[in-house]
Amino acid sequence: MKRPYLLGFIRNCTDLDLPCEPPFPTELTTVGAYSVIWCKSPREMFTTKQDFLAAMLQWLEQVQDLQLTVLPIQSGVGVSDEVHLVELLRTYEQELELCFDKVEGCSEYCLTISPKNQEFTPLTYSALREDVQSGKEYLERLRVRHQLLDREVVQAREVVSQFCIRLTPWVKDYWSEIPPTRGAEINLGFLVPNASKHEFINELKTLLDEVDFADEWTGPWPPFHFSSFSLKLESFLIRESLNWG
Amino acid sequence: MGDIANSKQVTLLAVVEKLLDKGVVISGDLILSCGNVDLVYLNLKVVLTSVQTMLEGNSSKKDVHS
Amino acid sequence: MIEDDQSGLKMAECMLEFEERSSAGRLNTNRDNADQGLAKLVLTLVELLRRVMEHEALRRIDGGTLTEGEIEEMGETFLKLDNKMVEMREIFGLKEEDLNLDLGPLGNLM
Repeated sequence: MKRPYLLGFIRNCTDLDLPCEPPFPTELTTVGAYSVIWCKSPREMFTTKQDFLAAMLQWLEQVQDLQLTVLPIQSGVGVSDEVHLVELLRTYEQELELCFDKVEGCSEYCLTISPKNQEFTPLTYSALREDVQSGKEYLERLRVRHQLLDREVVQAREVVSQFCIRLTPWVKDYWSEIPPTRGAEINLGFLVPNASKHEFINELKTLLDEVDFADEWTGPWPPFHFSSFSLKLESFLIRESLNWG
Repeated sequence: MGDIANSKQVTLLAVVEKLLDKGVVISGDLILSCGNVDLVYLNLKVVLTSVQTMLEGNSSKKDVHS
Repeated sequence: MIEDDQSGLKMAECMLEFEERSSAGRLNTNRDNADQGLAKLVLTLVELLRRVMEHEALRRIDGGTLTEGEIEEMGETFLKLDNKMVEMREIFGLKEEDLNLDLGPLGNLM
């Protein structure tokens, strides 16, 4: 029984358009203008997760080289039977249309930044509880902790804002994530129309030179963070753990 | 990637791994599963609301004591 | 609500037993920490709730509607909760940093 492993959605595509070389053979199921790209379970094709990731990286690069706009699906997602692929496309046709209208002809660039040389006043709970004399005092210490952490969140948001405002002319949309722990990196994603790629990169490089952050950026990627819909927990959707080998 | 990352230390595989967790997601902030079977979906944003907000919503500013 | 009793130990026993029984499976989340056991998940959720409750407690104090007695009692309850968390973490060999949620998800939610 074929249990298709889902890779992504694509619009107005035929078998011939997709990369046909290895790393893995993909199949296409189409309803109307929209198709879902799938393959067989990675466990059957690869020994380790790393091998699978390397193959995915290669496939994504090929997709970018061919200038195809693919909407990648979260990894580890499949359907229980080939029959459900049609159902999937029919159910999400509206969402796919809205999404592709937004991301067609665009790529995502990912940026991680972390401020250098950060000093942190220790705010652990063990510090808060030491030598505390009353419940009220403990609450006041908690208050200080909350204020300091809130301020760090605000500062992180300001950094995000700085980047987004500066890069706005070449960006169609952006996404950001404040780190859950102090001192960790901030993640940003930019949806850049392919026609503006060079100007965007130039401006990004200029900006990164101006600020004092440790930074890493990669791209172009398919628009991972700009798929504006989520699949509901359909009965035919299955999730495969990626931790094997 | 075509337009090369700026840092030699970037491991593209690590980026790919993180990215593949995003993309089109199956909705749910938390899915509790046993093996490969999804059992429970918990949306944290739905759950978190302050009692005060709830009480204010009921147009009563009095504290409720039990 | 939070008492100095055996409830923490009993809960820990339950979780350990559950983990052992479900040897074929694992409790996953769809976030980055996919491989953690039940204990980390539960304790992280309790940590999250603790943060939210602290935030609300401070808001209520600022609102000026609480008595000194109520404030003191709240503070003592939070202290007891902290002791309970220390106890639970020790049972599972988790450190405070393992359950670190300092900036979020509240940072992203609120």
